[in-house]
Amino acid sequence: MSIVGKKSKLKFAVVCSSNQNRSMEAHNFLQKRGFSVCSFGSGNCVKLPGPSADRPNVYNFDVSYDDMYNDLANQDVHLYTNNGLLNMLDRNRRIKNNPERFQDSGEPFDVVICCEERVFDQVIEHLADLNSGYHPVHVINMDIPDNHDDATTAAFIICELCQKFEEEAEHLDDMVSDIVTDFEDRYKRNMLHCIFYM
Amino acid sequence: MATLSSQEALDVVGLVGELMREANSMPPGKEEARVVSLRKAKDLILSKIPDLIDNFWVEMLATRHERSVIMIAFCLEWIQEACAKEPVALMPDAIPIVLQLMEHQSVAVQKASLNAAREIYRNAFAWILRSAKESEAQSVWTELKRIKDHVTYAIGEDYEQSHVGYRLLSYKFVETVITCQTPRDSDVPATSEDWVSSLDFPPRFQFQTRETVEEEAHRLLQTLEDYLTSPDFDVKYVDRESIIGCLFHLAKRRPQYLGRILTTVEFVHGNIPESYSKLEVEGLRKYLKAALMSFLRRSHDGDVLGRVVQLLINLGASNTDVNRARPKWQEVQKRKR
Repeated sequence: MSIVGKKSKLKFAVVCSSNQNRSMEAHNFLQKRGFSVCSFGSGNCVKLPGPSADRPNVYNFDVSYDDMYNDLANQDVHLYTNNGLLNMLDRNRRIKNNPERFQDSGEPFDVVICCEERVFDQVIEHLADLNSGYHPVHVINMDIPDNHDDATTAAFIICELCQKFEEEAEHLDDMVSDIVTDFEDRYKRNMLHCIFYM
Repeated sequence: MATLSSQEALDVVGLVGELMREANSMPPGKEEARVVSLRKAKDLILSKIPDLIDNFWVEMLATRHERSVIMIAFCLEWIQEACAKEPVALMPDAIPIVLQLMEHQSVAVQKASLNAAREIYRNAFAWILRSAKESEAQSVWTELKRIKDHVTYAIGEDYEQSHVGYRLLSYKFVETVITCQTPRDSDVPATSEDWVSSLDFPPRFQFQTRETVEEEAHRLLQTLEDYLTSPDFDVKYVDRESIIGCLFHLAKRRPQYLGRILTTVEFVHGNIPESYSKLEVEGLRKYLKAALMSFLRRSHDGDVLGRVVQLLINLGASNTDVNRARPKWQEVQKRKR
C-alpha cells in the first residue's frame, strides 16, 4: 500500500476538527507512502483536552504545534504525557509547523477526506460557497472516533482508499462512487460522497 | 500593448525562434521542459507581437499529435489564447481540432478540450459583442454553435457513452453559455465570471438579436432542468449534484432565475429515485442542504427566502442552523409584513 517512487497523480486533503489527531495520523501515514497530501481542521479553533472535560485547551490555528507542546508541558507534563497529547504534538511538529483551517486554504484538491459528519458538513458548506471553478473536488466522509487507536486504524483504511483513487486517477470521476461504496461495505462504515468544483 | 521598435520586434522574433528550436531539440520524455519553452514562446508572441500568431500557428498546433497529455494540453492552451486575439481568422481552423480532441482516447484530454472550449466560448462571445463587422461576428457565431451542439449532444443523446468527468464539465460549459447569453443583474457585484452578458449584444446585428440569444440560453436552462427532473433518465447522483451546483451558481449570478431553479430543486428533493443507495441519497441531500445554506447566507431576496428556509427544514436543518446562516432573515420577513 504505497506509491513511493511514483509521482502522486492526485492531491489529497484529510480534514478533522482540530487538525491534531485523525487528520495528522492520516497525513503522516500517507506522506510516508508517497501520496501528495495536506491536512486541515474545519472548526473555528483548535481544541485539545484539558485537566477536565469543561476546561479544554483552546488555541488559534496559527499557534504552532511546538508552542502548544511547550504550553502543555509547562502546565502539567505528567498529565499530558500520560494522555498521549505531548506524544501527538511531538509527532505533529515533525510534519508541519502549525494546524491549518480548511476554509482558509484555497488549494484545489482532487479528493478531500473528512473524518466525521460534522466536519463533512462544514467542508461542503464552504465548498458550496466557492463552487465556481472548474476543477472537480470529491469530498468523502468516513466517521472515525477521535482517539489514538481509531485514528491509527483509520489511517490504514484511508491509505488504501487513496491508493485505489490513485490507480483510477484518470477515470476518477467515473469510479469514485463505486470505490466508496465498496469501502463502505467492506469496512462497515457509513460513508458520504459529494462533488464540488474549485 | 506598447508598440515595439523594429529592433525590439526583431529581438522578440529571434527569442521566439530560439525557444522553439530549444523545445524541438528536446528528446522524448522531456515534455515538461518542452512545454516550459513553448509556453515562454507563446507568451512572447501573444503579449508582444500577435502578428506572429500566423507564423507559428501550424507549428504550435502540431503538438496535438504528441502522445503526452501535457503537450496536447499545451496545444489547447495555445488555441484558446490565440483565438481570443484573432477569432475570425483562427476559429474555423481551431474548432474542428478542439472538437476532435473532445473525442480523444484520454479522458484528461477530453476534459482539457472541454475546458478550452468553454474559455473559447466566453472570449469569442465577448469578441462578438465588440465586433464592428456583422459578417465576421456571424462567422464566429457559427463556430460557437458547432461547439454548443457538440457539447449538448454529449449530455443528451450520448449520456450512456460519455465519461462521468466529461459530462460534469459539460454542465459547467452549459452554465457558462447561459451566463453569457442572459442579462446581468445590476444588484449583483460584477465579477470576471459574468462580465459578458446579453445586455451588451449589439442591436445592429441582423443574424441574431439579443432576444434570440436569450431564447437559446433559456432553452439550455430548460434542458438542464429537464435533465435533472426527467423520470426517463437513470441520471446518476453525481450528475444531479453537478447540475444543482451549476443552477445555484447561476442563480447567484442571475437571480432572476432563482424562482424557477428553486421549483426544480424542490421537485428533485421530493423525487429522489428509489434506486439510489443510502450513500447516494444522503450525499444528494447533504449537497442540497449545503447549496441552500450557501444561498441563504448571500441572498437578500425576501420573496424566495421562505421557500429556501422551508426546503432546508425539510432537509433536516434546525432553526439554529438556519438562523446562523441567515441571522437577518426574520428582519426581512418583518419588513415584508
